[in-house]
Amino acid sequence: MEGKLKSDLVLEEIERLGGRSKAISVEEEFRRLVIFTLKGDFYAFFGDAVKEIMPLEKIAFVPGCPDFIMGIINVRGDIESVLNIHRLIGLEDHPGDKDTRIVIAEKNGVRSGVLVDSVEDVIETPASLIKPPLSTLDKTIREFMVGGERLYRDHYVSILDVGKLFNTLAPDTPNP
Amino acid sequence: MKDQITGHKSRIDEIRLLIFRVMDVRFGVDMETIAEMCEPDQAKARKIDAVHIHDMLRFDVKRVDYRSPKVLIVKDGTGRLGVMIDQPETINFSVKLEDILLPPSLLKLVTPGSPIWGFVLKKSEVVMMLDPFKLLLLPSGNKKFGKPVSDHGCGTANAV
Repeated sequence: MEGKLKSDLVLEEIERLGGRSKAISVEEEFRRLVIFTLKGDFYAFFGDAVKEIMPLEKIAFVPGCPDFIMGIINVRGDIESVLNIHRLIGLEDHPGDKDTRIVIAEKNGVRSGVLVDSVEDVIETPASLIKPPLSTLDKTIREFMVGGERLYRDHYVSILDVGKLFNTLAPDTPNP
Repeated sequence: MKDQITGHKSRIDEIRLLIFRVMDVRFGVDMETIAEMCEPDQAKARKIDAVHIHDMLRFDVKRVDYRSPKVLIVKDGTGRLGVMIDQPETINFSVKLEDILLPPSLLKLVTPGSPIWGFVLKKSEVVMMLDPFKLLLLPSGNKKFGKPVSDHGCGTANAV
């Protein structure tokens, strides 16, 4: 018999493939995304910025606040502000229903609730699947974007940066 | 947040509040900052300059109605400055310092210098702690605190 045995070739190929898959799994970065909707469109925050997801509860209006702050909520004896993200990105206010959620987000020491129409999913995604934003997207939305989009259930998901969001509202927000 | 207050070395253990409402918002004012409370007519006769809260702070409604207005004369030494309030409901409401919640971080950043300096939960209802001195220092009218950039028509009021 000349050359290598087929079994050896097969083994070599398996090892080569195995080695490659190991290399991929070590190198590939995964990001957690909390996917939510606003007026039928899909958005996400990176999971590391999301501390809690709460059902809608009574929001107490605070006089003297800018209109993008809806008010405050009582979270187990503590107080959190609630941000009206709809106004920030130029959408109509959401009246609130059984699917409405308050996503408690935190970045660079600043923390706030963000009112969203619904939370759809929490997923782990390879960073390589996060694509650059569509150039057709509204400029206001792009302003808060991480610079990435990902396809989820045939919907484009615009990934928003909590830090950029807070920094736009309060330019004195500490940067990392 | 609570620790920021309780950690402060102070002999003040508690404060006593006058609690009142304007529309659906419940406010609490430290009673030590108030000289007296009187009827608006009396304040007018005494030429006390009383400001309406909604003239200084943006409300989320087009029209602010005062149903049972009173004037709080602040203890500034002159006896000439007052704040028009509505529906006083509780006096001498005692609050321990550790029960006062400081404004959340984002709120603090977007409303620096706000006369609402803290919050108290009274039977799970939120009471906004209002400093009348800070309120009186605010510019009124078109420059009212928290006025939305997008909506300069908001805040029209019909006060007594």
